[in-house]
Amino acid sequence: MKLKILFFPITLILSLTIVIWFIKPQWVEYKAKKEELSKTMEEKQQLEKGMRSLSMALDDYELMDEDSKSFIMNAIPKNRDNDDFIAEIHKNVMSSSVFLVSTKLKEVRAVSNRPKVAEENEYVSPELKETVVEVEVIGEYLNVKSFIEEIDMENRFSMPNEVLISKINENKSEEEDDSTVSNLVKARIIFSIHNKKKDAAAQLSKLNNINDKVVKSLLSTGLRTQVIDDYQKIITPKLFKPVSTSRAGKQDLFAK
Amino acid sequence: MKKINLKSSEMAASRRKSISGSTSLMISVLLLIMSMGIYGVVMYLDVSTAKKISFTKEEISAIKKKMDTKETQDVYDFQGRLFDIEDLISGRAKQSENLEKISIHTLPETRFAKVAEKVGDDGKTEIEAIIIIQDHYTLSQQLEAYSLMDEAENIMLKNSKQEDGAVEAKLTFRIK
Repeated sequence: MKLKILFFPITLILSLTIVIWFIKPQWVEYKAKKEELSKTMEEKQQLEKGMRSLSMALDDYELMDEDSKSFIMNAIPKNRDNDDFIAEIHKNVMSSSVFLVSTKLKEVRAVSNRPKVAEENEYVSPELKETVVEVEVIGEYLNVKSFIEEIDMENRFSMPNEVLISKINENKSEEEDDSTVSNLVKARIIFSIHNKKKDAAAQLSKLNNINDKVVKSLLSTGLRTQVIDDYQKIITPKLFKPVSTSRAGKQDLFAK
Repeated sequence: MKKINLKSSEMAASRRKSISGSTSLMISVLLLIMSMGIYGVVMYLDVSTAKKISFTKEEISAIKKKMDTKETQDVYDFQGRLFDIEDLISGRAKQSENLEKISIHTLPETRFAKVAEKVGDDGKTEIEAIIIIQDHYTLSQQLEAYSLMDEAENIMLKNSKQEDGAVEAKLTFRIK
């Protein structure tokens, strides 16, 4: 009889030991795992959502016409392609009837318009590189202006920096009359062109972890192509419209 | 009829002791089973959660694998170029367009000797021009014509001098 009564405190102590030594740590572990599961599920849901946007982006890219793709790839090519660009300059010189004095490709530097974060031992995404081009031409003002227009309208993206147009000093001899005086101007045009290597090692899943702007956009809104239209509009020439309300309006600024 | 109590008080006490002895044993066994049971349930939940985590991680790996293909790299590269162009065109000025704007607001009697355009850090273009014009009255008209230009600001006449029957003036202004 006395043994039966003694059994109660023993089991009570045993139960408490089980609670303290086994159930409590197991419960803490379970809670931690539950939290981890909730985070993992959330990550999975976000990735699934992102994957849907990425699939749409892949479809959009697949269905995009080759001209639009080439248009963008020519605007910022993978390589510097300076020989091609100089060939383009020469073509513009010919079509604008100006004389090319010199062409200089001054420097190459990285444009830090998109900050890249790189983890240790991870790759760094290629940067947008800038080449400063300085071109000097001689010709009649309207032809020089046409040449500048051609550069502005080039498919290869150019960023204007500086233009200096000045009239060439007239060293006419005493025998020459005014009718033979040339109307030539000299122009120095400075602008930048860009290039960027392809991300051959880009891993979107890793870039997603370091909050890459491009990946974030692809995983949230898909492919954003509005800029193709915007850029096309920019390089479309506008017609000359003189001001009709006043007597102003002169095409050749350097003409008498 | 008179009732007689046949149970002694000692017997009743021993019976109470025997009930409490079995109850305590039962409670003890129940307590032990309950604690073992709770431990078992928590253990089961823990193991099943671990399995779910492992399964979800496998699914995540599969999704990530789908993200890292050559096709997605092409799209990533293309979108990157689109963003680069977007960033660049926001501050882009067209050199020929500025000359066009100046042309539109130039009087027929104004003759340029020099014109320089320089794009500032704020994206606005600084124009510096040397013009030759017949007299100061026409010069004032020319300055007024430039002030009518929608996107022009800070139109300033730097200096002017009378030379060979004409006025040579240096002016500066900014175009947005």
